[in-house]
Amino acid sequence: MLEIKDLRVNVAGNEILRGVNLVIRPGETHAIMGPNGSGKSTLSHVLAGRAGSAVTGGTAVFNGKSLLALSPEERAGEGVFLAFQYPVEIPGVNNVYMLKAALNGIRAYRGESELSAVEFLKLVKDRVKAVGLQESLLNRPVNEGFSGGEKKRNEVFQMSVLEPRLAILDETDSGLDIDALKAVAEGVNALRNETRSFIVVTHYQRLLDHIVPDFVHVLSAGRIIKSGGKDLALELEARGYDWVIAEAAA
Amino acid sequence: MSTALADLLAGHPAPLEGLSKQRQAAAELWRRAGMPSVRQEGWRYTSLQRFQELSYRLAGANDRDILPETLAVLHGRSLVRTGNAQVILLNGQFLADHFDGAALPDGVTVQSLTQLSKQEPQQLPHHVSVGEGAADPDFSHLNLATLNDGLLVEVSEGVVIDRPLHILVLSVGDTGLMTTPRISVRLQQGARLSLIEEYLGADQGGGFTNAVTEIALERNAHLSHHRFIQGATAVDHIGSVVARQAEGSHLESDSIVLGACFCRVDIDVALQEREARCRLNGLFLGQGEDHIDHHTTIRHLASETRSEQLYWGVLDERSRGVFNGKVIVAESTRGIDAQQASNNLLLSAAAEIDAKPELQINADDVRCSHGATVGELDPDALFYLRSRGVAEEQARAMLIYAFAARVIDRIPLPELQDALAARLLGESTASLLPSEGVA
Repeated sequence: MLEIKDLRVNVAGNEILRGVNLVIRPGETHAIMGPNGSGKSTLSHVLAGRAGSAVTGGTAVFNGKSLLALSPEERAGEGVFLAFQYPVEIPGVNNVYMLKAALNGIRAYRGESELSAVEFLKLVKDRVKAVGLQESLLNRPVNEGFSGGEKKRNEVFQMSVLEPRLAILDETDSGLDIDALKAVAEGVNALRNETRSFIVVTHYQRLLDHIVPDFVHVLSAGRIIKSGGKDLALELEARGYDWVIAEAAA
Repeated sequence: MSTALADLLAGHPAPLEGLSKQRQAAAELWRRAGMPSVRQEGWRYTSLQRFQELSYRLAGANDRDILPETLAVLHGRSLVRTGNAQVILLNGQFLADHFDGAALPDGVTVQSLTQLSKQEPQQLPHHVSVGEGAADPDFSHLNLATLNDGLLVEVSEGVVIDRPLHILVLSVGDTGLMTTPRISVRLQQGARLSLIEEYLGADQGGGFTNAVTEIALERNAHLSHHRFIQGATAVDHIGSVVARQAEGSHLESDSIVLGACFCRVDIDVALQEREARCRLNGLFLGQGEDHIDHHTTIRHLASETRSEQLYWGVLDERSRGVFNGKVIVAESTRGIDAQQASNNLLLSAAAEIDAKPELQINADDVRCSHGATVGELDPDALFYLRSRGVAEEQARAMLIYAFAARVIDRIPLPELQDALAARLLGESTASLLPSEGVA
């Protein structure tokens, strides 16, 4: 589904990703862990198409297409979804209205017809319940005045409506207490199936107690220096990152 | 006969019985002041060089003919969808053929100034004043001196009109045509009216619209006034709105400019008696080489008067916006509240806004605030929307609309709100806007 080869990325003149290799197959959940400044967020951003980073080498092929050549909205059309670490507040743009524009945009990209107002409303009602987002937040401006937990839940809600093929969760656990974390993880787990893949970027193990990954990768200084199963995350939690870094350097 | 704008007074305007004294005074004021120059504070940001380069002629009776097809096209471009305009001023002149006086509600009178000058010339000076205005050269003087017709709208005491009165002001002519639309609005005690004043120009030709709206609100009267200028034409626009308010009266006045190659609007409100209040909303959208200038003056002449001004600008490409908001608080007044905000969105590096508050406060018991901001579209918000699948152009339109909605939401006519949304977002995105009862 996604094949990243020797991906190199500069941010403000500094090489942040220095040759990342990663293969993600349909239905797999991959956790990307690593110390602060290792390039985790840059990887999320560059996959979703955020401006501000320059790809200097390598490829990212998504279902046969070169992802890096596409605009953010085209990537969304291809089925990529980024759940933001810091969801943006957009005063004046209503949540549901944005979502309708987004869903119609994606459907238009795929050559599908727009959903009727009735169909859309049914979908929204259905998903909002599943994710446990307060219905009253739907008609509020996007994320404006939302608590940290509501913002993350809104990301998962949007994900559930847009039904991506690949969802990238960028530090979704940051700023969440344990109850909110559980609720968000449940929402994500409900969306897991044999065709949908996830990249879960996180600094801490605790999110992975709730979203159990198939693979865990350690990103350090812009490279994946170790990969393993879900147990690797537990080991990192117990022993920290230094031993992996030392092992990789040896 | 064509002539330089400054010398148009030599023309032969319509006689308008009963107004000769005022017109002479106005002509004298205009002559003495001469054309404004950028060396004068009030015109610092707005050069009138373009007017020096052309010859002008006054609109006359011959400019009152319009082809039905042309009229239909202009009606089609109107922001007001519910039927045709009730009143049309074409090149400054009232189109009697297109007016059905019987359709007006009881208590509202609409008549042309020409008609009034024939029937009751002694009444004219009550509705048309010279205006002392600012010390600056004042185009309303040129308007009065060269006036060839105009409109009087009057609402009788205590009459409340629900349906808005729509006046379509059309400029259809050649490059050198100067038109002088003039609208006098008088609301008697306790009367209430909603008035849409919409300026449209033909796509071809050009010309210069020198417009004046004079508003008199008697005690406890309430006027909701929506002044729209739609661009995409080559018609230059200089307009004045002059309002005088008596005790407890309330004026809401919007100035919405949707692109215009050259536009200057002066709004002068005198809160003459206790508890008079006004709320001015402005929204201007510039692109290309558009130049859109708003100068407001609020005169707090009595105690317990309130004013509120919100002017929002969205400027793209090489367009330029100006907002100058002057607030004057007279001596020995008490309990004055004056708020002013100018927020601006620049969509290109070459766009420019000059926003300037000007406060002249001569009293102590005053609550007065002003603020001006200049920003650009939030790149994080733009990326967020695009990452969800919203195309870039649509995402930009959504963010621009979100900005403008702060002003649009204050316009109490849903029909105009919808029309503005459609203009800003495009019909298809606007149709996604939440209506009541979604989810």
